[in-house]
Amino acid sequence: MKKLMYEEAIAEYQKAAAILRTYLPHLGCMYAVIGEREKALEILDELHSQSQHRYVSDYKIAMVYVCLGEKDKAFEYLDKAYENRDSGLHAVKVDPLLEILRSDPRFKAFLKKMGLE
Amino acid sequence: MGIKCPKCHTDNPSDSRYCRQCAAPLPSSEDISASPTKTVETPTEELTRGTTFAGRYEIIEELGKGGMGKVYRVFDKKIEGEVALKLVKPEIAADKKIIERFRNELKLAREIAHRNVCRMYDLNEEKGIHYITMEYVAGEDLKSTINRVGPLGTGKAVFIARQVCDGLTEAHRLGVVHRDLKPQNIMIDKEGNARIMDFGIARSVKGKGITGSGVRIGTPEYMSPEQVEGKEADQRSDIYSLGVILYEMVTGRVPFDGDTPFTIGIKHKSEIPQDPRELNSQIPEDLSRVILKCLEKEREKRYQSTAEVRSELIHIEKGLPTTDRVIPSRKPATSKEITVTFNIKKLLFPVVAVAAVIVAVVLVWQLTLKKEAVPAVSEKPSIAVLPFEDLSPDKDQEYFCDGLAEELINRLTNVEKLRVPARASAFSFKGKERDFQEIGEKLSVEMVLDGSVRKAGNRLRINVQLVNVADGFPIWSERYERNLEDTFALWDEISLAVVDNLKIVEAYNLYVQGRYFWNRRTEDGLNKAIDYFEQALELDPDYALAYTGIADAYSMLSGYNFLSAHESIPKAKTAALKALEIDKTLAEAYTSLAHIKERYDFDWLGSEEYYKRAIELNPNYPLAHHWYGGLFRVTGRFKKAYEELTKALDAKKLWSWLQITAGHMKSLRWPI
Repeated sequence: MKKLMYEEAIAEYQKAAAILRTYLPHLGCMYAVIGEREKALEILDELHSQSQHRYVSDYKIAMVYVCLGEKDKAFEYLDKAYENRDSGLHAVKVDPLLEILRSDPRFKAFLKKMGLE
Repeated sequence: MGIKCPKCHTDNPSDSRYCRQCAAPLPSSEDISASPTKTVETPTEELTRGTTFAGRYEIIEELGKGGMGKVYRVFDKKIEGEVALKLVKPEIAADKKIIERFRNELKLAREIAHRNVCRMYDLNEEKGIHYITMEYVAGEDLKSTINRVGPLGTGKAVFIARQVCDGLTEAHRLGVVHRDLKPQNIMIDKEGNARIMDFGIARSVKGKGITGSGVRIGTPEYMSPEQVEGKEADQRSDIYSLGVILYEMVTGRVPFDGDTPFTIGIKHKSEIPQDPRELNSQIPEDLSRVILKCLEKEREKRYQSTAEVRSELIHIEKGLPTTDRVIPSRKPATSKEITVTFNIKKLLFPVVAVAAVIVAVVLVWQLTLKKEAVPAVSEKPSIAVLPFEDLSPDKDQEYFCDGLAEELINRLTNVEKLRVPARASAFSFKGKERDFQEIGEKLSVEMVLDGSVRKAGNRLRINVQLVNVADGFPIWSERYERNLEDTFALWDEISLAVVDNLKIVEAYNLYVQGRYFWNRRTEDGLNKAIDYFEQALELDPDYALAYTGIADAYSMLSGYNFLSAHESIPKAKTAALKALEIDKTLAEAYTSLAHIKERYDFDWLGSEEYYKRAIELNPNYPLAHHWYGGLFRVTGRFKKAYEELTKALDAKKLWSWLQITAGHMKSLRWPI
């Protein structure tokens, strides 16, 4: 049942990303969540290559890494997002997608840096 | 041989350039003795200073001679104001066809009501002498200016040409082609603004009889090749003449001159003009290109409309160093004798009510969860001008009342994006009781401009109000008290002041359209929104709301990751601070800044303070609640977030511009 809902979500994100490129990270995240790691990595590649010529949100890249379970990379990109004053970052304290980071001491430190702790 | 001054008739030595008596520029002696292009003069009636002509025009001075006859500055005793009066030479007036043609042309020409066009009034006859009355413009004609100072600076030349373009655009829109545009026909008034004279004359006088008798109307130096060939002129012929004038303004000489009209005509037809930059290296390259394009031999290769020339000139103007630009010296909307002054920015909010329909479209769109709606772009605010009511005890001001309303109709018709019913439909309500809702319905307008005139002694009190048809309440009103000295000037002044204020409607309309696109939250939509806000700022550079629009658009461009914060947030911040600098009580400005503080500065406390201030200033601004709710959410205060978001939804439901108007009335001059 849950699986089915993820598939529906992926279908919606595919449509969204086709309209607005800024939804591509969400799609990547969904692939990662359902175990389609290759597809998620492809999307990450795509995001990195897009970032060569236009702004790609570091916060959203961090989000894809979170979904892939790669915490180190996720923190690396959260720091980048902070440097770039990424607009997504303002919700870092409450974003449910970042759940797996919350127990990590680096997350607390990060919130402190943001003035949110 | 000496030179007689054309103004004071003093004899001057033949090598003089300026009159020794009145310092007026003198034509060179060569011009007088051998000018091939000078209009052939025949004796005509002369009017002497101090005498009264036609029982009402007291002659003040002779202004000059044109192809049609002598022009005088006169005092019209009947309307107690100065006008210009042009006598028509007897040999021209003798041809009934010409007079008839002129009558027809004048009917069209007097429709042109534009600040850059000298208004034509009437054609009349007194004891067999035909004469024309027109607006008197104090100042100097452009030819005299060029003769006096030589080539004009680029900024000044472009400024004048742009104004001439504006006047021509209006005339062309009404189907009137000037046909004899030349610097002698362009007056530069005391404020430095250009006014085109003599619309409708050239065509009337063109005819076999006249050309046969050797009188030339139209000066060869400024004639288009098609006119030289005797072909019908159109708006592109005026564009050619404008090209010649621009050429002369920046180089001090016309592109083609010669010993006879024939040789000049041949050059217009076949000779390539010298690049103006070769004569004056200071001329920017793009201006030179514009001039040469106006001077193309084939009209298909020229600009096809004056609007095209205008936009090129504006582009050039923007590229000039600030020090070279001419800042228009606007005629003040009010004078010492006007008791109450306008304040455009303060009037902004009341006037916003007029765009209620557009706002309704935006709101419907927002409330229907972004379903496609008709864009606001197609909406045009509409205003009917009613004949003013004469409240004078003697009821003797009907002429003034009707004239003022007509002047207003003419002026408002010129305001782009405004629909104004014609005089005939608006005047059908003359003398009837004012039921604004009924009038609004019958004329399909959203607003009615209504007023009254009361004369006491030599004082006139004029009340003007703009009424919102939907609820019958005035959106704004204004009172003027003046001496009845110069009717035309007073009409002019009041109508200009009213139009100036209504331009806010146009700026506001652009702001609303900008917000419509802003709400789409797409990259394209946000960029379009910035375009609209910038256009609004072109109309009113101190338009604080438009700055908040720009701020929010740049914030969103980053918010949706279309741009990095480094690229867009400095721009957003500058715009928001500018809005606040203009209006320290603007909720929208505090909201924009609060959002930037929250999202990009991570200054949570500062942000909260600003949201609070915005809501305090305007508790009905939905975006303030929306974003304040967002701040509560990201800082983990979910209950409060929910409360604010609910308030945002409520505010949206309540959000009518009339309420906002009421909210802002506290800051206005009206007692509430």
